[in-house]
Amino acid sequence: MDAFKETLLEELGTRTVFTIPLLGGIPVAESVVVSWIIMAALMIATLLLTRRLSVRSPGKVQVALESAVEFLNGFVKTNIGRHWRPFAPYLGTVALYIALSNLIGIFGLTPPTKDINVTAALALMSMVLIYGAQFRYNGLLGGLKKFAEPMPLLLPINLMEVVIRPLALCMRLFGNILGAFIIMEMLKFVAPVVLPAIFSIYFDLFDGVIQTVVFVFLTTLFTGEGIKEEE
Amino acid sequence: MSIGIIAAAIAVFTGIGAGIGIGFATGKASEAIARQPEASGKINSALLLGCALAEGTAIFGFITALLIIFVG
Amino acid sequence: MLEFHLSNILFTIINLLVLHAFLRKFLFGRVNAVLEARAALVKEQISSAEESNRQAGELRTQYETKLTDAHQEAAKLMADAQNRAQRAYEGKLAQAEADARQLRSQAETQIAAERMAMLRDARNEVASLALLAAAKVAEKAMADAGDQAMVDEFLTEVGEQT
Repeated sequence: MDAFKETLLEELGTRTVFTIPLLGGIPVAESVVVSWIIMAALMIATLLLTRRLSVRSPGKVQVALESAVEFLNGFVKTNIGRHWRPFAPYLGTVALYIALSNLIGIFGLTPPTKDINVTAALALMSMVLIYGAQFRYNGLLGGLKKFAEPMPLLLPINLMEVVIRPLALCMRLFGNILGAFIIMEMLKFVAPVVLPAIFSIYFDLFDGVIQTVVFVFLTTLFTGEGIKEEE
Repeated sequence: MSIGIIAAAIAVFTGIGAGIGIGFATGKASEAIARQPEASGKINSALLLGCALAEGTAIFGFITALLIIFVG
Repeated sequence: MLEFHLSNILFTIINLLVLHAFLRKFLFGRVNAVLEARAALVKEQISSAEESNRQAGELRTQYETKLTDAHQEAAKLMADAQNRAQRAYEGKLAQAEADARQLRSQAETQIAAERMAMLRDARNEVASLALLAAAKVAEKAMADAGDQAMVDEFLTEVGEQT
């Protein structure tokens, strides 16, 4: 039991891969390195896939790409409304990043979303997006007025939500991935042969995709809530 | 340490609430889809949102348990 | 496990921003540009198809009016030609009738002249015969002028009676 706890603790810690010798040493964690790998893969895939786009005769890859982007656009449009255009690329980026981060466990790398710093950063960005959009499209006074809706009595709850929403987003993603990771580690500890492969389909693939959808969906919904009613 | 383990177990009991909540929500959503299959898209998105929020409770309990075991 | 490193969070935020900028420019920008170009193309094609449809309709009405014009003109030409032919025919007919009439009158005058000539000949013959007969009757030649005049008088009396 103690040995298991030790390995678990070691797995859970944020390992520092190397330190940039600058300003007294900036530690670069494993999650950041894996993020860089994911980014590089995404960028190369993007450059390869969007090399020859044609308006008149799209290939199979281009059709798939276009339908994916159209699906994203439609999703953002229905949830945010008139000002959907600047949000779609960010939400698509976050979706791709989280999905790949959750799924990269299959390739034997540590998922970056298991590091609470990554999910905290994602949640912070979402918070900035949600409340930035609220003030950007309603003006300063209108944005403040949004906190007193639907009735002024709910003002403290709305203000609490400013903190609770990103915290919940951060913890939900982190907790799910971490929980899946811990269960997988336990399974590997108990039965290292067949069971992990089967359960990894659920915990790595299904749960990863579901959590991606939930994160992006909630961010979109909250953003839309902040700016939608003005129409 | 044993007290901590028990505390962690109690914290993990939040999962019961989340399970009941998600089960209830899914059942109602199935009923709604059976009644109005054409509104399944909207029902699905509402269900997903509710499940995510209900699941949040379980996740908070789980995080608390982890904190108690590994940090506290 | 649950320790927050500021550097880590900052790295992730920078990563996200860089990835966002990259994907917005190269993935979503390009694909959205293609989608918009396709939408514009479809719209343009629809409008041009409508335009050509409209032009075709216009051309058809033009052709139809032209066709009816041509029909009318043809009918007019036909009527003209028929008129002219009728007139020419009538003119020819009239001329032919006139010719025929002239010929007939000529023939009639000729016949009359011949009859007159024949009559005169016959009268001369009869006169000479009468002279001969009278000479035979008188058993003497009436060669002098008094006898001749008497015979002429007689013959005119006979001619008036006949």
